[in-house]
Amino acid sequence: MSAEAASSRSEEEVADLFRRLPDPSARDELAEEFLPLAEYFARRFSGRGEPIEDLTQTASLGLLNAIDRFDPDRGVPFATYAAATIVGELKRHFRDRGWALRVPRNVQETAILVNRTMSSLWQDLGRAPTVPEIASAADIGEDDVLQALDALQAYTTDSLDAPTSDASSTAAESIGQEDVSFEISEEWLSLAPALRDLPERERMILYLRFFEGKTQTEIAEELGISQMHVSRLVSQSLEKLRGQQGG
Amino acid sequence: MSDPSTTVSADVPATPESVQVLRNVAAGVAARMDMPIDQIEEIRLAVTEAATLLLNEASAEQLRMSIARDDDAIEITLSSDGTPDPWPSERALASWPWLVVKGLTDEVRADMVDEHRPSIGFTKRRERVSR
Repeated sequence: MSAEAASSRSEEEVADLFRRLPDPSARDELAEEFLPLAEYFARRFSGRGEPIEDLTQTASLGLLNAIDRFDPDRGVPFATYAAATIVGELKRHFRDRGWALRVPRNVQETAILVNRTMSSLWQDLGRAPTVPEIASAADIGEDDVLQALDALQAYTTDSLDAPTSDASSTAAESIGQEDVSFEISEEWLSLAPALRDLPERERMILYLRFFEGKTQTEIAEELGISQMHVSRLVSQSLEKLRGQQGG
Repeated sequence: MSDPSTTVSADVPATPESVQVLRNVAAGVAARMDMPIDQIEEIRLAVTEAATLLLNEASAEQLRMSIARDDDAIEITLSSDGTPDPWPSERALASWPWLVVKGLTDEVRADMVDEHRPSIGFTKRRERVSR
């Protein structure tokens, strides 16, 4: 199915419907007419761990946005314009959830629940929660929590590396203060050549943690970020280093 | 710490997938000790780095992990069937993974266990959790 063949109506009939906007019945007719296009792209993005219902809903939202923003005088067929908007909406959906990795659905749902519970407990308690604490707050088994924490590792590594909307920086780089600078010894950097390739903030955190021997809590205070973030950044950057060393 | 009822041990092939299994086993034991999750994560990382270091130093077919615990601390020993000469080498003790294991744990040692197996062991004490 190509975007151009998305509609059973002629381009002229579609153009007529657009001329009737903002008449709600014309909007409904357009939405109905192009729903198969939204469903088509929702299916194309399925199988990545997000429920198809959510994807269809997201795609439909993209379609409605396309209907509201389309300018028939620009000479672009609506289906082409709508396809781009729908795909954009679906991509944003995945980006917002940070799920670039394929994780089975129930593990993923548990992971989202555990992540949320963990964050709020971490904040409430002022320290990292234990697995039993998370299990009881989320009302799930301790094994489920462990499994979710394992899945979340892949998840955080990935989402923090993903480009943010500001394409020039990643989320990991833009956390916290920007103007702290450190003299990092050359000798230390030579221990693991890949350290030089890490974003500055991660390199700094590793330096404070493994050269100056500071605790996560101390680093969190020094950099003005949460301890949870420090913990994640430490894991993430160690994984990256190991990946590059090939060990 | 030598009470056998609190000891877990596992022999696995020396592959990255097995290291993943070992770190999950270690995390499972730590979780049951009521360790906070940031400490559990540090244990996971330490297991991985220790295994990496052992495998960097000498090719091996098999890895062994044993875990002993009491109420307040977990002691994890990783060893391989590789034959690095000598063990621990100065290079190993100046390496990045060694520094990381040291930084993540409270005590760390490199020696020979079970006759001729090169090993890295570490102890992590549980932070007191205020309730």
